[in-house]
Amino acid sequence: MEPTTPLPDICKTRTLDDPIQKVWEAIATKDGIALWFVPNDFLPRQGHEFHVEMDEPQGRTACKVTTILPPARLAYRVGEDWTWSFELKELDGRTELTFRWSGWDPNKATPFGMPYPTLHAHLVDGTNVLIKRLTRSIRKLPASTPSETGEESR
Amino acid sequence: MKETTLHIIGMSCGHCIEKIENVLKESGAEGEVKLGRATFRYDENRVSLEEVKAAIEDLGYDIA
Repeated sequence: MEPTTPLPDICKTRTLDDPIQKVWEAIATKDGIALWFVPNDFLPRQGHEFHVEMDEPQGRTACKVTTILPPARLAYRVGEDWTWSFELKELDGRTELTFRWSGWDPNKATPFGMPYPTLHAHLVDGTNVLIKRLTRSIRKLPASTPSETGEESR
Repeated sequence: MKETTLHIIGMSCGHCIEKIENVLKESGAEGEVKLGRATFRYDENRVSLEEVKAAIEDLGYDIA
């Protein structure tokens, strides 16, 4: 019998001491993403198709930028089913970051055969590690230029 | 050499163990990593415990 219980989005909100532009650099540049996630060929352009080099068994995964509104909102599709979205709010020099991982069809499984309900249960806490890694990576970011962050098109 | 045990929050799989082992190795520490715990010896003249903790936290884990 197929599972029918819907799986909620995995959503994490954190308030960071860093300014919004710096947080944007962490989530919307190739080098920024590599610091907290994995190597990739991301570009901050609507519709850009890129890959993230995830650990096995997931491995190299195709992604596509679906929303980019610097420095407030970024979303990209990850693999066939998932969407990662990031929303930033400026808080008087600090930044509120909301990360949302959606697309958890309870009747589907990963390409390596793990049912989404199993992986989802694992990642509800596992995503805390990812987000903490993101927040701690910001101080390691090099100085950047506007063209690296998608600001040139604004 | 000093020996210590850190209780680590957020470890959930073999990848987590591997990542912590790599951090300890890069720090010149030697020991054993299990889910939720790392016991290791380190050279205080080469690396401080705070530096090892910071490297583990940079991976996204919390130290209890």
